[in-house]
Amino acid sequence: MKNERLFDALGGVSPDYVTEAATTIISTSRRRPRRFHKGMIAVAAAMIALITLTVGLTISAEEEPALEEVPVIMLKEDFERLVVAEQEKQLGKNKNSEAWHRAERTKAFYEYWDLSSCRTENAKTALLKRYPVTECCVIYALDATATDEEKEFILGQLRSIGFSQLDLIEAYENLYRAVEESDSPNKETILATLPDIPPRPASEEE
Amino acid sequence: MDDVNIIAMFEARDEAAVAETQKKYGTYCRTIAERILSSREDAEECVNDAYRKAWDTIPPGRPASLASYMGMLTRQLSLNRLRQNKSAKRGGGDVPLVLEELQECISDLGDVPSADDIALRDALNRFLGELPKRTRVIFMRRYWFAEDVSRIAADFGMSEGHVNVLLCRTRKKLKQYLEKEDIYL
Repeated sequence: MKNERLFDALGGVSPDYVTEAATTIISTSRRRPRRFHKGMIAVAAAMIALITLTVGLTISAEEEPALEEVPVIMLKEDFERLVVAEQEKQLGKNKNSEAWHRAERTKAFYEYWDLSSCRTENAKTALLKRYPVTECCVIYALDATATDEEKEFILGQLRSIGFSQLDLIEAYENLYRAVEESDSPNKETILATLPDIPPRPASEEE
Repeated sequence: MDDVNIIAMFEARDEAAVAETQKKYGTYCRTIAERILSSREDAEECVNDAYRKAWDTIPPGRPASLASYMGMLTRQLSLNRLRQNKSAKRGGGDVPLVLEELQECISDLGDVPSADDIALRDALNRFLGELPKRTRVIFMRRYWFAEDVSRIAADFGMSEGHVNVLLCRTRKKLKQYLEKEDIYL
């Protein structure tokens, strides 16, 4: 059968690719945790809390990897937390400042979509066709007509408020989770419409 | 013990080479075999056959990577056993599902002359080379190692849904790539 032939042919690909994947299997199988005594876990947690308290270890915004791409869809909660609230915190409510105007302009590029707000069946159908994920959650989505220059502007603005690549990854992971945990019978179809979650930076994966 | 020393033991015909290989790659080889065969006994036999084959082929062979060599031996022996079992209608592990997924990579063009194995293998290598590393590793773990999606997701800290979407998109890209290269199965 053709698919068996493809499966067999994969067996003959470069050993480099086999080794590359094998290394991840071997390294993760060695990392798989054994059972620890509950007391050891409690002691470890206490030590971590003490060190964190004493040294004040937090990853500052400057240390997090810079945002690489403009978020295209986010859960309502994440957009409000990561963009709206963060901008307000940093910029205050001085409506005359240039920074405030930039913040407002950035927010304006994102549209709020809530299926329960649609008053007619036609409107619901149209929304589900455009953003299938609204079946499962309320979202903010980037205006599809945003130009490259506008996206550059948005990227710069988000970076300036500390929106990092890790925030993007977390926001997309939350989106995927919202779909997977929903009751929708169309999960696979909906997931296929979502943007790819970028890989975590190498230092995060260690 | 590192691979260079183990291979040196094979070349010196020191039987401890097999024990060292078993210690280092036993779990890894058993995992590959069990994914394909689902029967522990069959998997164990294939893994033992893989050690025997390694003993018989090193030397003259001198693999650059013992991990990939043992993996390839185990995979091939397990597939051969699976084919024997199929005729007796036993086992299969995750392979039937993997084969079903790979069906999506086959062109729908019907009766066209099929590419030879070397052309297909070269195309696959080029395709894999163009993928981002994470995607390539996940693709290989699913379709070379026949690993289940939940294990891949857990190891990469991803949701199963995300892994499935990534694999689905990669299969589509592979289909388009093979068609563009005029490679038909």
